[in-house]
Amino acid sequence: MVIESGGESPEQQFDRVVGSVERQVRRALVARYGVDVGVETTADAVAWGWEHLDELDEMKNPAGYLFRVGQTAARRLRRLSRRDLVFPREPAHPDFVPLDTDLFDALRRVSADQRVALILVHGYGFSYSEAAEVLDTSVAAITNHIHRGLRRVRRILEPDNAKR
Amino acid sequence: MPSVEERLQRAAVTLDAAIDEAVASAPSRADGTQLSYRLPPGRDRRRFTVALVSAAAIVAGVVGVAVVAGPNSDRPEPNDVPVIPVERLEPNTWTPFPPPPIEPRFQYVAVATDSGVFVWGGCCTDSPAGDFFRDGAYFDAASGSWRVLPESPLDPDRGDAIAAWTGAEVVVLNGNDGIQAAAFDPAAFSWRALTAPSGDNATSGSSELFALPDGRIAFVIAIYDDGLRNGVHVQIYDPSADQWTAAAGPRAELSYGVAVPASVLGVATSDANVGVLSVIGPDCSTLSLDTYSTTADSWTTTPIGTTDWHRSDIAGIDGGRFLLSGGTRCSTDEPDPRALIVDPSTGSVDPAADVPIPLVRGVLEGIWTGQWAIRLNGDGRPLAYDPAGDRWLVGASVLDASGAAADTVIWQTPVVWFDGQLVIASPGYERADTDGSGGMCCFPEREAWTYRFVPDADG
Repeated sequence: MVIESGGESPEQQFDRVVGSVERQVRRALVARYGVDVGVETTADAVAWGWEHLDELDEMKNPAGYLFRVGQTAARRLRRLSRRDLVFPREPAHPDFVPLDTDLFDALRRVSADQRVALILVHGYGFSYSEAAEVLDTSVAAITNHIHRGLRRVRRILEPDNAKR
Repeated sequence: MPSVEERLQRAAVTLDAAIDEAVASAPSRADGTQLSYRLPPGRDRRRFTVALVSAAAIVAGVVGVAVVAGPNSDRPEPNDVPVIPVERLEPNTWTPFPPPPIEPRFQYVAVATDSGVFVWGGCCTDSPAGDFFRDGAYFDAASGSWRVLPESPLDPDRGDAIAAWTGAEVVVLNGNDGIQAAAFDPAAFSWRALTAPSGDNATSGSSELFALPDGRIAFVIAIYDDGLRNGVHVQIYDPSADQWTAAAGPRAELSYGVAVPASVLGVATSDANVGVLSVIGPDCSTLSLDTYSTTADSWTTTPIGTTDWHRSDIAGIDGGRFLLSGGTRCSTDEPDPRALIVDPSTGSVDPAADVPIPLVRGVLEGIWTGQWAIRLNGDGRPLAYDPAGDRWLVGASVLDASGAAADTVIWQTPVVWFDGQLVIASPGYERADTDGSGGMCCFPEREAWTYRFVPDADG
């Protein structure tokens, strides 16, 4: 194993710089583009991270940068081959409460930014600032997407109860 | 019934399981590695990437290999689209215009000068990271051709620079961590670095750069719904002294740098006035127009009242007045056709004719021709309002590369008003968001269009 300056091998550096944020980036890209494209573009982003490890190591927000790399890969991929937005079915409720509309169907019908913010913050429990960092955007933008996204999803899922 | 938040939490667990399954079952890459990308020690970084990208193309089921190219490696050659004099353009029709000899892009800044059209920056390069452009071009009307700009002193650390024409130079601000300023002189065809204004970055929220009638420049930092630093800060640039001066501050509800209740929806100029449209209130909106007089260094607040009106657009018109139009009703989230004319000098707020088509997020606001306030609607159609006649006109939709009407144009694609025509130097077309991708796609190889706006023929 080659040990570079500072006593850290490239693999150790990769784990520290890329591995530590890989799961967050993958979740964000999957929320944005669906499971298949999200997983694939995460692979591209992480591969780019390996190639540019030193450059990435000096960045303030490597997760946000890798998300952007994944976005670029997705744009290119989607130009070449339009894909459906693939999500699993929503799990049945443990108390067998009937669910009229699948949550993922509702999430397909909100804007991509709103969908990603909702899944990261309310699904995975990211803080607003954590979500802003991985999406390389502002807390204000996340706040906006959450507020409007929740309103739209409620209107889809709970048309009788949604706040007007 | 579980709440939406509870359903999201449970759905995330399901989504993680689907992700794990997709990673585990991903086809092997060309080099035997999997999409789960644990890197073999000692692998050559470049080869590894090319293998991954190549395999990604195979996985996608498409023909061809997406190979990472260096910057500008596929820069197009200038083409031979002729420049047609504006008087010979077919009225209310888009006509091909010579495209700038730089790569297609969006978010670039475009400014009309007295002699041509300036474009610079934008998003995104062909690098895997989608970095921002630092090149640009200038269309010289006298020669009818574009020239690539010399390298600018601005860092391309964001794509959405702002700029204004002083009458001698194009002043450009860009920057993410702090602001950089530079000026391009079309006559000398050269850049010079300028003293930069204060601020965290060049284009937070609705921040804009405006040319004032006296040759000075107004830089308006206008932050929308930041939650921490909402508010407005105006700085005035005097080109002769290369000096930025902080203007008087607005009312407390709009004070910059602290948490304030107001959110800025948009800014515009009319004559020597800067207008700031803001809202206070959580959802259904109490709108106000705050106007800064750059001659008197003072602010005026004109209440619009509680209107159930959100995100209306603001445009400067004649006499220091402003047009508010479009937006949505807070109570229904439906498009709202209302329009108002606000005169800060008298405090009057008068109804204008309703907007005849739904306002889709605009490509550009703030073009004032001296008679018409024009924007390119997000559906690709020029939309113009004549305050003297209280009438709206709707133009023909911009065309795509095949010559068909494009339903939408990509947000943040600037359009300029030059020599009696709208010029769009690098259009992108936005496909309908049928798959939740956000719809942003489709940059043509090279295109530019011009639109001759002839109100009487259209009206």
